[in-house]
Amino acid sequence: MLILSRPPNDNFTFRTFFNLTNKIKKPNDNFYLWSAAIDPATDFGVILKDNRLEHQTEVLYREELFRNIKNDLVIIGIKDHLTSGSFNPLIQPCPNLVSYIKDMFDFYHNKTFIVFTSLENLDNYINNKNVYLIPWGGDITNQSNLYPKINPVINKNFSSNKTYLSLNRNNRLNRTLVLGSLFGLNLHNKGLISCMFKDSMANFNFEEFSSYFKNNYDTLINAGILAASKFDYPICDDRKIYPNEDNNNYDNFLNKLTNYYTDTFVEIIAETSFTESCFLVTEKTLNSVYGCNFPIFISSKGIVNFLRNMGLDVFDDIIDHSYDTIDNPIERCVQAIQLNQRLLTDLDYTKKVWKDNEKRFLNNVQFVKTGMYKFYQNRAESQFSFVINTLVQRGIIDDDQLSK
Amino acid sequence: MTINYQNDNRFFTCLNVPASGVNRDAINQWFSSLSVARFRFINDPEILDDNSDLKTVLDVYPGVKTIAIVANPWSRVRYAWQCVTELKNTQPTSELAQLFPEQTFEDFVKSLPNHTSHRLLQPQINFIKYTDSNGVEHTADYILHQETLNEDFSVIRDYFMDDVQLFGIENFPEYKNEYTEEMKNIVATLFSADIAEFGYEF
Repeated sequence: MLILSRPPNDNFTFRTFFNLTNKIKKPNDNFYLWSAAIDPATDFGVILKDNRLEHQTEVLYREELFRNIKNDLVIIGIKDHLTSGSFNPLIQPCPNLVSYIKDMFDFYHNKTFIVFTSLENLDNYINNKNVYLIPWGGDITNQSNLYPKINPVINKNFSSNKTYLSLNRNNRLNRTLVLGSLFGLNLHNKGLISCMFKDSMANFNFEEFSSYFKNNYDTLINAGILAASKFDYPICDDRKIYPNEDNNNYDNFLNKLTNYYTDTFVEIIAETSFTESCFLVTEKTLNSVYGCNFPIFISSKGIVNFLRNMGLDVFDDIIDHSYDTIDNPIERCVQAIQLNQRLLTDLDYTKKVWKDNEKRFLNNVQFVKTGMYKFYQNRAESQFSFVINTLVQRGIIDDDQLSK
Repeated sequence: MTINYQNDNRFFTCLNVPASGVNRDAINQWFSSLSVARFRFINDPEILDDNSDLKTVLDVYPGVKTIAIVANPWSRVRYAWQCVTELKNTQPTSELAQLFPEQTFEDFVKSLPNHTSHRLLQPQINFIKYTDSNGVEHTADYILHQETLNEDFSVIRDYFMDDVQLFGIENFPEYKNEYTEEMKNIVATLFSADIAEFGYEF
């Protein structure tokens, strides 16, 4: 195996990958990498390599990958999402890094690839006959040794005058749309909102997504973005939330976010994935569980259904999650907010409903402390077993090439 | 046949033996700087920062090649005192700073028998060797000595067929003039297992 690169705090997926791939004794090429390594947008800086200083870019890692593909069986573990920059399904068939690895699978069409992925539903884009996908869980599995130590934010401030929390750090389409929707619908005063990119918000390119705008959503959002770009936000945190550049979300939750959850009862979770039909479930979802807030997801279609099936209580009797089945991402975002306006604005109602369902939040916390990791581990193991059995049946692996 | 990175595809990791493991970073950096080695090193802070032992590491990463650094116990204790003293200045509420409030080195050494359950005061051998449930003894693959670290590391250089030396090594302080007979005997008793295993002399 070659560890081409690793993101911080990925021990859950790395160990899963290490232990499962060790079971295959058949000669194979085995790589573990962070998707950032093959992303042209990543600059890893300068390293000392073979007594020379070398600038690391994706070229280095892509070359290393290709140089070391020699066997008929190739196993790749790719951590994180596969979208560089943004993805517009109106003009691109799939996210660009998905496209890159699909090209690799096509080029090596006579080889068999087993691909571990952080993404759910990656098979929506990758259906090459020589590729077998195994999801191992998104960034929600990071820091699996630390997150279970968190005490849930169950002691809410019932004197708070804010209903919901909406955290928006990096400039992504869904976060611009959330803010545009909240301000456009004049719901912003009820929320504890952050926006760490308001200076660039007005650059939102409507033209590119014009086919998605229906029902005068463009008017609503346009006006909302204008207001959001001038607003004086109640949360003024530094954009640099990881002092040690180590993606320490556990520390960030304890040191920065706990107070926000104390003062709110609902969260609008603008996840990393949005326009893609595959998605990454991250610590943003996990924070919301430990923060004990009703969750409204602004993410790819199907994320709520996935979490529900995993075993999380998504409060279907309280939150209207019908937005989760909408294909149009802009409509999905606006509907997520519009359908749940009462929960977002009626403070007395929301507080009462929260109090009536307090135990369910604690049940969810209990689930993510243990059941969630078991779900991801068991699913990866059973999917791996299924793939191996399939490859044995197809004669690609002999039974004696597996360790017992 | 000589085993090297071309005919053997196993991974390496470096155990974090308390106090002795200070030069893990130098080893980590060496691996990162070598194009044939950098993709073959496992750094798992969740295990290694907790000063876990060989068994814990092999349970998580079976088959991985383990590197361990060990040091002369008297030198190691002197270095540990230096670190604790620095901690008392920079992190006065830290566990070690609280556990060892003594100011002088002599007081520090005399207090050690009161804290034998602490990881810092476990013999190094406890971290790099164990016997499994079948009675089979396991030892770290590469045991390097702090005092001759770069020379001992040559076996890893040979594996990767490169002569780049370790860099950024932190040396342990001089210690011989700092011990009384009583202090020498305290350390000798506490770390008798290391002395027996590695033949250390004051």
